[in-house]
Amino acid sequence: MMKLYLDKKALLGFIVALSILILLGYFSYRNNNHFIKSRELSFRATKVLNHIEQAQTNTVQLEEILAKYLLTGDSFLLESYDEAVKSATEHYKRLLEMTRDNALQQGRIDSFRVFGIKKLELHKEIINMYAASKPKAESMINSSPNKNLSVKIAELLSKMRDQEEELLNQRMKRATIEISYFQTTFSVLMISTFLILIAVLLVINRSFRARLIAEQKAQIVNEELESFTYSVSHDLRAPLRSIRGFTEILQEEYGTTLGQEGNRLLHIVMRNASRMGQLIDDLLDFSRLGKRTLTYSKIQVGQLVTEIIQELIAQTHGNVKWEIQKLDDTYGDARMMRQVWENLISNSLKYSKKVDKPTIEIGSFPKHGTTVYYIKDNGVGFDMKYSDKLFKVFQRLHNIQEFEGTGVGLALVHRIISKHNGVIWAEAKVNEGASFFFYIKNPTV
Amino acid sequence: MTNKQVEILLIEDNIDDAELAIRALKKRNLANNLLHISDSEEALEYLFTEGSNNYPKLILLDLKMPKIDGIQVLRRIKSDPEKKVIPVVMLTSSKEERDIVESYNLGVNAYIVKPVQFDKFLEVVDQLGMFWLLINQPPK
Repeated sequence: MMKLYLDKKALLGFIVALSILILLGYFSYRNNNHFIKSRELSFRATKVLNHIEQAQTNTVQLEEILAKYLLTGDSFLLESYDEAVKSATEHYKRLLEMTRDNALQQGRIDSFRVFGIKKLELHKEIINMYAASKPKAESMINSSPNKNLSVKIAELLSKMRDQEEELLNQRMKRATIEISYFQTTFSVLMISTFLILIAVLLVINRSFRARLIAEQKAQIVNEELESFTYSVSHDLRAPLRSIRGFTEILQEEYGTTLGQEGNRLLHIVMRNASRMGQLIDDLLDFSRLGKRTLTYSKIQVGQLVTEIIQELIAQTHGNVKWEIQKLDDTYGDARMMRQVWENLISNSLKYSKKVDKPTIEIGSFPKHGTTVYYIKDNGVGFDMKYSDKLFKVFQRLHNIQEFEGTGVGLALVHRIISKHNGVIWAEAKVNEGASFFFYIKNPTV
Repeated sequence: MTNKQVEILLIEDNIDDAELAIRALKKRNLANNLLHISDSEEALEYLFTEGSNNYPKLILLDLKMPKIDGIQVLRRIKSDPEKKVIPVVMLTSSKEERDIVESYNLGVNAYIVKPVQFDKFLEVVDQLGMFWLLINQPPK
């Protein structure tokens, strides 16, 4: 799931903009559809008009062909007559089909059919009569029933034409209105899109500007912090050196006259001055780490751990039993990772030196495509309910009289591991020892 | 002291630090011909007044001082065609990388971070004096 960093206002703006675009898009689509439908209907009306015209022509043709036949008696003309009838029937069928949605026109077409049949029956009688008596047949063709029927058919078709023309007119008008609706909504859609894009651009620009300002501020804070640590390093150490130095001189030159208690007190002053010096140094190390960048290289962890243990053993001549498993190599900042191992191993040493048979186990195992390293001791351990304080700077779980320390070591370790995009965690029980686990991420993964 | 050749010139504004350094040097018998100047301006005057023939065997120079700081004093000494042969050792509280780099760029002869513990300071001064005053062979 994508994480949202937008504030409520921006999110609301986005939803409103999206709604506007969807609404306008929908109306554009609908208006365009209406226009297409009206245009199709207009097209159909034109076709209907055409069929009406053709039907009219056919009826006139029938009358003419019949008249010619009566004059010439050419039986070929009867074939043309049949063709004209077929054509008229065809147009009738098409008209019936195309005006199905129009009851008025359907009624007229039906009348056209009735009149047409009457007409054809009359013509048949005339043709039959022609065989018997030519003059009678001629009089029948000019008789009023035949003429009246022709007029009625012409009137009917003319009415149909009028209505269809009216319809065509209406539909074309509607199509014109609908295309203008479409054009309007589409233009509004385009303009809205354009305006929204400009708004988005402005918002993005503003957020970039805010970020730049924040970065500049962070830069200033960083510089201030740097000059602060610089003064701490210089100005705090100077008086401390005097305290420590002159106390030492005092003890050296007047130690004999001060007596046992006096010497003990001087010793406390010196010890605390040293401790403060250590605190300042550790603090500086910790703050310097923040600005240092990582230089990745291959680290042979097994070799590194062995080296560190040898150095530490030389300093602490203990009876620790070491259990070192095979340790996988890794990639990381060699200097920083050495610091991590130094701090973790010396911690284990420190907190297990008071037990009978101190044992420290160091090993690694693969997990989630990376290597987890661990260091396990059987020392004093700690209560897991304080585990959240474990990696915080200047936080300690043991007092200074029991175990030396400034509370920076594990904070430093945590910071280095975090800089390597790794994780460190601990498991412990009071008087049963502590285990530290960590992994770091390979930069190429 | 005026007619004797000054062997060590200590330029240090903090008189307590100066006293510690002098005491440490005294312990090794190296402070017999030592001159302490607590003001960097005065120290430059001592070294650079016209016709000055003052060539101490060693200059111990504090880094952080008011008015003219140690880096500036160092630059002045090392850019002088005659005085640049005098060995200069920076004595400072800070182990800031940029100070160390800048000092070496200017031609400092050694850079020493004063330890908080006096016994360690003694060791440092001891080695310092031994090397520069007894072992090192300066140009004639």
